[in-house]
Amino acid sequence: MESVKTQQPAEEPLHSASSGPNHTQNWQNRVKQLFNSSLVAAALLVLIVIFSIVTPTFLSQENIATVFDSVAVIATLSVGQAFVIITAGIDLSQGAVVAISGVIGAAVMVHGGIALGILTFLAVGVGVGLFNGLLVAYTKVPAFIVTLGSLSICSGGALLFTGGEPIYNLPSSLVSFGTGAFFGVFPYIILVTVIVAIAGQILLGMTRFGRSVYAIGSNQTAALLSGLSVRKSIVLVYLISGVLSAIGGLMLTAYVNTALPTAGANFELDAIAAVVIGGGSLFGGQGSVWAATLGALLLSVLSNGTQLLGMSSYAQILILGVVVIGAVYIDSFRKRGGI
Amino acid sequence: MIGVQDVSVRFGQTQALDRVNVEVSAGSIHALAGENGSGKSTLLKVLGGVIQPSVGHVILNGQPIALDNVRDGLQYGIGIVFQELSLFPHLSGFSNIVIGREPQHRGLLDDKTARNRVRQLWESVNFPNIDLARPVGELPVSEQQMVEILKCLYRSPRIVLFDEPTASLPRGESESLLQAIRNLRAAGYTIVFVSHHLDEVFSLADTVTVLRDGHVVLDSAVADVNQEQVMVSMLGRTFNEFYPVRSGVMEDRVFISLNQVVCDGIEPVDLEVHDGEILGIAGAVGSGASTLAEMIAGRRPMRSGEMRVADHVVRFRRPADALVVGIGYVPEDRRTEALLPNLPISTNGTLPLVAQTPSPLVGRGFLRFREERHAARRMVDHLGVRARNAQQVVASLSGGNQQKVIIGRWYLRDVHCLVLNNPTKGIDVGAKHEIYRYINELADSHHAVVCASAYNNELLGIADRIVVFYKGRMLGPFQRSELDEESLLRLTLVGTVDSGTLPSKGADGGQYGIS
Repeated sequence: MESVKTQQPAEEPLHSASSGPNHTQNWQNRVKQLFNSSLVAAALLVLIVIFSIVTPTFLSQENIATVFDSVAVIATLSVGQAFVIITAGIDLSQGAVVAISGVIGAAVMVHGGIALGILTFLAVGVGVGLFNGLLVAYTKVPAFIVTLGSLSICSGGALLFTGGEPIYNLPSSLVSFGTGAFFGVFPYIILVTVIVAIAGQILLGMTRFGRSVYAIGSNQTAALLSGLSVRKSIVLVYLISGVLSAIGGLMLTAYVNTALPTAGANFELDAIAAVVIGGGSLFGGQGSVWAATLGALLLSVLSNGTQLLGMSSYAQILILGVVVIGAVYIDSFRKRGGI
Repeated sequence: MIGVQDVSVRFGQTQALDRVNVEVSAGSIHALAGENGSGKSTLLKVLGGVIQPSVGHVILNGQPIALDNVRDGLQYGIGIVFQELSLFPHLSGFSNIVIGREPQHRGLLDDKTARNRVRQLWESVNFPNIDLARPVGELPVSEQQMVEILKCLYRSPRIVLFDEPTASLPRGESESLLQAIRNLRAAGYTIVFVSHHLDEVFSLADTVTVLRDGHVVLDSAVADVNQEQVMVSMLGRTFNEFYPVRSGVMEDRVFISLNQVVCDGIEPVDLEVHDGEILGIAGAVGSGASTLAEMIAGRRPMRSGEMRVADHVVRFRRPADALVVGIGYVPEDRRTEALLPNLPISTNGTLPLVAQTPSPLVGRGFLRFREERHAARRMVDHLGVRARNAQQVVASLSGGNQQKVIIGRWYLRDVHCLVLNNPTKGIDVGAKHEIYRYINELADSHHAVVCASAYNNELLGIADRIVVFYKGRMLGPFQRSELDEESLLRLTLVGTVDSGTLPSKGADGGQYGIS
């Protein structure tokens, strides 16, 4: 009874911000909330507005398709990377998994048909993911080193497997998956990305597994003392990252109609950047799948827009670096202010 | 020579020191004694420049001096050796000692001069032989402590302050450290130390100052007082009215029984925990009290012996094993072991319940957000967590409210036995009261509660039975009615109830009825 008496009057009921009678205020509140809850969504909106004003072609159907095509693989990878980073880990092997799953999967596809090929892609992803996950969860080797090692193993493996040569002559059904579109308007690879992102966000945000991902990243000892299966969850997180990287490999192979042993180089860095731009913290416990995919989209919009403005691709790479650091810097202020 | 004049220190609501005057004479060993929270460590930190008094001065050779930090202290020849070691485990003893003050030769480190200087220093204080070339991480803790002391001495102080020098030492290793401190006195240093152990005070110190609630209550040459007088002066007013009253009683059913259980740092333990009781584990820091609590909760491995829970033999390899049989744990260090700092109150509070299988908050692997919200609200109301709402980030709460959330975890996942390790460490009086009330409520509703605490009054206030750890050995269990503040303090400080005789197991059994 005492607890009721001593409790301070609640300053604000839970949903007051969205239930005010004043509509202007309501709208302003929503924008404010958007900026507060997701800097990346706000920044993306600002970029889109700017680019559509200063370049005539930005909002053309053709250009929008380009933006989406270029974001598909990175966004898929960033979903897996988000899971890993929220547990305070990191997966540097993603790009190399794109390469090795690409060449092995494509080779099987050429000889054994598309279904067996797709299974091979996934199997390679499962294999590398388990390798990473088991080592991170059950040994004291840090995730950075484990995945740096598997990066090297996978890229070396991919080059050895093909002797450095690309693999052509892929089945036509794969090509139509890579370049075709659902009802002629919605490209299949974008569709896959959207499905992956939605499934990832549900898994992370709405399940017990997702909750343990946050808890492990926030305080592993506390997670252990609360009875969570910490190691199992860590293995699963790297498994997800491995499988999504293989799916990324499949998408890329289908899109370019070739499997290159050097494909996917540095993709993991873009995926990490996407997660971090989306508010993820490398110290764990923070981030989300949807913010990570928005981060990937932001990177893509930025490089596309600057290209339309006539900047060289070298300058674009430079700008990217500035944006990543700037995003985390601004975010650090927001978080400090929020508490 | 060194001392304080009219020093007061305030921490928020707490008056840690209230117009304290102390004088330490040159070349002597001066002990600061008192119960937890009496202000003795604060006083030491004022002398060392770690804490600045809100009123009053530190006096050195009759002159008031201003110490803004530890560096200022060193300028005046005052060095402080902290309880927690601050060594670099991968560096050698030599490198640790000279760190930040390495002799240099043309911009390069001059190892030879460094070694010579350290050796000279070492010989001058007649310290035992330590391998200073090895990484200090490989040395035993007592030797690490010697390195820490040498590091302090290297900065050439004349006055050395020790904050509970033996607290982090394993049993048996403290004697060499005490001898080292005596050698320092022989070499002309002035020593001030804080201790939890009365026997150390009497074997080491020339003068003792006892603090209670921030006041000096005794200040005397050790030769002029006996342990009895020191102990009596340490005891404060009683706060019995502060502790809520139990309505239930200890039941016959035994929930946990330990039979000759051994784990690192404590001697074999025989103990039973009953339903409906609050079993207190008393003992100074490092005595083994929190070790036993950690072991019961599966946080520390049992080396040998037999543990039974509800009549089944168990062997915990991880905390989750203890949870499965219904033992939950509230760890001592909130920040590193319990909080998910950047996550909401609700996520923090429901975590063990979400982890349970099957869980009322999870259906087919999916979280039931509505049930989770309700559960969080129930927990916030029941424990009296003061927060705007359950979505508030837990790091933004006060320590007391954070602790209520941590304990609230086990209110939501209703474990049969709750093990608490110093649950009221560093929290305000109001929150303490609410936590005591909740602990009582648990026992009244037939749960078994184990509470380790370094605060004797707290255990006397809430526990039904109390065991005491003294240097790794368990004494008791004692009925609450058999103990008073004085006897419990005596047990934790010198390991025996009667002055003079050491406790033997047989005597305890006869007198206090070991179960």
